[in-house]
Amino acid sequence: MTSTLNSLQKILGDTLQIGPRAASLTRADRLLGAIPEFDSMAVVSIVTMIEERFGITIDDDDLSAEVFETLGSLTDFVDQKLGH
Amino acid sequence: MSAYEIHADFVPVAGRRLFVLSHRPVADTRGGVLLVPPFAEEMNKCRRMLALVAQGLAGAGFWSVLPDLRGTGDSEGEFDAGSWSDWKEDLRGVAAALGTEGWNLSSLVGIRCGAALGLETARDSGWTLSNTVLWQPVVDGARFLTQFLRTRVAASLMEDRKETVAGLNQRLASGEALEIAGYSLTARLTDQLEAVRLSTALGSHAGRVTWLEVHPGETPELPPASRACIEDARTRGVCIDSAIVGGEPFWTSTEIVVNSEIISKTVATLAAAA
Repeated sequence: MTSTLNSLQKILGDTLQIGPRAASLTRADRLLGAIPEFDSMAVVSIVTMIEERFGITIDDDDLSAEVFETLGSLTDFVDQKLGH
Repeated sequence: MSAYEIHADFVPVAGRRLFVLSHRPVADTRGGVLLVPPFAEEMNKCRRMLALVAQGLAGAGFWSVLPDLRGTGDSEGEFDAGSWSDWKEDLRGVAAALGTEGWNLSSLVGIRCGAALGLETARDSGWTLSNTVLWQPVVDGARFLTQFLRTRVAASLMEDRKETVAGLNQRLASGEALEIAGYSLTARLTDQLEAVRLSTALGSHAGRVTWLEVHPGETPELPPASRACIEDARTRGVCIDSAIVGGEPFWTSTEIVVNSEIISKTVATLAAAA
């Protein structure tokens, strides 16, 4: 079973079109404000894809800059939504 | 491979000039295909795909028509002057105007929101289609609108002034025009968009339906919302095939993406049916 982190690397790679670069992202890597492709349209695409792939619903209240700060914070957010 | 001409025309609909791009085979045609574009920025992302499918269809002997809906592309009007019902009037007007030139509507290709827009128009206008091909169709207008409004919410995160979809909806309801990702939205459009459900537009008038979705990675299944919509239509006797194609989301990608498999499947489906 692929981990949440691996799934998110894949989602980021597909959505931001950064391809293999995404697979080398670690938990500490910064996202929002650090990756040029990570704009508001990308945030929406990523949220939509997370909802579809993980079968979870993300409310506005859940969205914050902190969630998208690093790959680690995003992974923790999804894991928490999944009840892990 | 048939020879074809490309025509760029302005067609008058409801007192406005609509820009319509048509690909017309020089010899007899095998039928007319209405290409119904997606919403707002997604249209820009899909221009290349639409041009390629029009060329592919023309090569296979089909006359295709791609209108810029009112307030979009090269058509007259401002974006916030258009609404879902106006755009249906546009599609009807284009079909009627080109019908007099010998274009005989037989099939529809609907992209994203264009799926429900085209099929609602077909239903309301009494068109009976032989084939309908849907690209990544939007199933639920309310959900789509929420995702669209989220673009602004996401932008607000970066500027440290948090907005919410609920807050934006309230401002729309109070009559304010909101700019989302460069497009001005008013309640006139969003109220209609919110009520859109693809399943209510998917009837026997669609003919044989081919539902194509792009998902990256190793052949996953369709998302639950798509599966539910397809199952519902099947119980009502609509004939639907679906396929998942690998690739990036061409309707929203940062860089323009062409998915040649979607194009070839679309052309092959219509060519096999005609």
